[in-house]
Amino acid sequence: MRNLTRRFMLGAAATLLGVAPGSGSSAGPSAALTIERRKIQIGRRRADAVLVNGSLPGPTLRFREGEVVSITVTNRMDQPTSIHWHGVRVPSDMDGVPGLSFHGIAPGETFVYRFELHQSGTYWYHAHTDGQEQEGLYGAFIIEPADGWAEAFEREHIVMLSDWTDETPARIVHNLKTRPDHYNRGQRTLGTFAADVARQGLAATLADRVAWGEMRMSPTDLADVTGATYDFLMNGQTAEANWTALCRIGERVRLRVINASSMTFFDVRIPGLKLRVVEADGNDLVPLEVDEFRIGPAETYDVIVRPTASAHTIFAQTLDRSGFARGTLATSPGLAAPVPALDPRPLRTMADMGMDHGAHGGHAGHVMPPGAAPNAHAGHATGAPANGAMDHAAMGHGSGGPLPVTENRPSAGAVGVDNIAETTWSDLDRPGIGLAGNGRRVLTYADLKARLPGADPRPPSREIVLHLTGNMQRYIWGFDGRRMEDTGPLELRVDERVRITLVNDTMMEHPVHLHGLWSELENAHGEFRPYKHTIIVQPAQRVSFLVTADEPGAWAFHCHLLYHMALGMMRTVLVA
Amino acid sequence: MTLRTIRVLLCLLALLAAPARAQTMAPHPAMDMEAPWNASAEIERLEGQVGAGRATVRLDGHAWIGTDEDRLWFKTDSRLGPSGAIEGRQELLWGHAASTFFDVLGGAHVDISRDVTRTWLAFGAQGMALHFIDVEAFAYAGDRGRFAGRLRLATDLAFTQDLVLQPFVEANAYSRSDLAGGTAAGLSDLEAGLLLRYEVTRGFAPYIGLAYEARYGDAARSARAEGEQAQRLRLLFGLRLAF
Repeated sequence: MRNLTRRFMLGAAATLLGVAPGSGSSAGPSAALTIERRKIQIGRRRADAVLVNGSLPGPTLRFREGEVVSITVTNRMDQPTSIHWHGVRVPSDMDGVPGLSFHGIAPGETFVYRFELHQSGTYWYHAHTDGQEQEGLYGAFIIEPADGWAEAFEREHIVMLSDWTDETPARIVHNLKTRPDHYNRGQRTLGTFAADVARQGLAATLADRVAWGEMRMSPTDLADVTGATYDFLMNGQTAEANWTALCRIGERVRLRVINASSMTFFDVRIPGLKLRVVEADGNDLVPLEVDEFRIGPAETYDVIVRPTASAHTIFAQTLDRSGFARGTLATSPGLAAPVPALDPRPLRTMADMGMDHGAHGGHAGHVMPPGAAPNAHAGHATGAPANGAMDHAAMGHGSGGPLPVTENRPSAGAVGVDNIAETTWSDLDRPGIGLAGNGRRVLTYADLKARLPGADPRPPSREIVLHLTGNMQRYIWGFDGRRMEDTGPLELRVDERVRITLVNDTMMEHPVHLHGLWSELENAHGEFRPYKHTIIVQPAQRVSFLVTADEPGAWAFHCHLLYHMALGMMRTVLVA
Repeated sequence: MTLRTIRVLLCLLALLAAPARAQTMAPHPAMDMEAPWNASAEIERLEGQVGAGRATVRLDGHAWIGTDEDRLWFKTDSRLGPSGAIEGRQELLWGHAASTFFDVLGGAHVDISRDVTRTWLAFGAQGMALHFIDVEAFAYAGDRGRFAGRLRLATDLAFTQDLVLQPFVEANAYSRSDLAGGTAAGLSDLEAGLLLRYEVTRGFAPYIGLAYEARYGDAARSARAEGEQAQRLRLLFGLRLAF
């Protein structure tokens, strides 16, 4: 199996050479990508994969800011396909979302993407058709800045994380639809009941079981699709295959970490080394040293590290601790460093459900700090849910004064809604479930400070509040209790500046991606708020970002967990 | 009855085959505006039973095909005797998602017994109640003013990730006694038990179980007339299968 993988990787490397962007032509650089479906073996799992130029991940595309690039994509499969350039600001018809921005790429057809690059940084591309992203259609997209990288480094590597399975995407949907806990191998049992009784007594344990039983939810629901079916890959290789990034001791190595997974949040660290975080979602940050960071599906982080030994393990454990991706930063091939054990599996709490956690005490480690209100617009406690649409002027928006707010609260008891967070929180300095108090300095959204001030100093003219909703039991997801197919577009005027506030009524993290426009995360850094393309919203959290609608067209706006998007958590944003 | 039996079997086969077809449909493309179709088939109990001098196979299962909101359901709880005769409950229902955790269903219900086949209109609800208790509650209206009701409650208690104990109780009640159909007025029969299954995979789980079965009134009399006990404790061995 190792041999097969190695042979496969060699083939991939060979095709990679063939795709190096051409240059010197007056038409600007170009690349040619061919998409085909083929059975491949990765680690212990042999499965049908969707390959770009014969490799998984697809070849790295590398261009320069200011270039007009042409990317020719040929579909050699018997089904339609598409490629979306994630985070790259392109005209709507080049964005690659079938049915929205173009018609997709039919079997046998060749489509030429052509757009100018107005930005720099680490991005990626992936399919936006069916489950092809799960099946391997993804790769890195690097844009070199016209005037050099802001931070110096001697060497760089792409660290692309993904999840791989021999189950088809359609089978995974079937399994989730018929039994939503199909992949949950960490459920509560008689054993955990006994352990909880021993730890906290019978009364507290029973009270806790009753509280969850009343919600009809499981606190062990950390991830919908897990290591029960996934192997976690680093640059297309399993943890056992140990992908190796070569380096020299003492030099500055820039790691471009891209989460290309379909359903997996990773917690990334290199034991023994500080990670100097210099870029998030392609945009420069004021550098900051951490030990670890959580990366959601579709996010990217660039970190600079200085190796101090001949081998360091790059360790990326999944949020639900059901597995890990791993590679080695080493001075020569074949070296390895110790691989850490997985951290203990955390549990959801009543606070994650947006319940008043005081009523169900005994959940240490995930408690709301009293009076925490770092955001200008915090203090929006969601009251008793009311039905229907409402337009009202919200108070207390600090600098901007009262803003008109559009909000469609989901209805409790609706088919697509299994929970409405009654108590939300909006501070951004919590690293997320399973990370607080682990003894390591973990990056949070409060840490992200842009290197340069934002391009649009205007305050927002209005606020759009959207609720992230779901019904785990039926495996339905949506915004405001509605699936994609039940809603119309969210309309923005060209050049309008708006605040979008996401309220997570579910007890899972959602990485929410707005195509085509930047999402300027409103943390405490004012005009130095970070520009992101994908924003994680934690359970019961309320997160705001500003958007300048400076590119007309129809844009997709969705949760980047593949099966949440496919099963409804998606909207169209129409800029006109 | 034979024709009806064949029809019922064909229907079951068609629905069991449905998931295989549905799986070839991928989740809807990013912008497909139509709700995706899904399908599922599950045999909760496939069990051999020996008792009263005759061997039977019990098949208790369901299949559905449809969208998030609307599904066509087929349900069966059949006993196949050595002669190939099928007895038991067959239902073809339309189900609609009514709330977060419950569906309402309506359709046809056919009770096949050795001597008579009765057809009923069925209406009911099923879903997950508080504390993860699966509930099926149905009311039936038959010919000549007959009414009936069925209630089933079950839940899963995990011993380990693979070893699961399922306590369940199921009861049937009728407005009138029916000697030919083997049912009694009022509470007619009840089954309560514990099934302990080991999930080799999510779709393949052998189980052992202990069940108490009781028939009351005329149902008990007609059971005794056929040489069966009105109340008994059974040791069960079977398979739970999901497709």
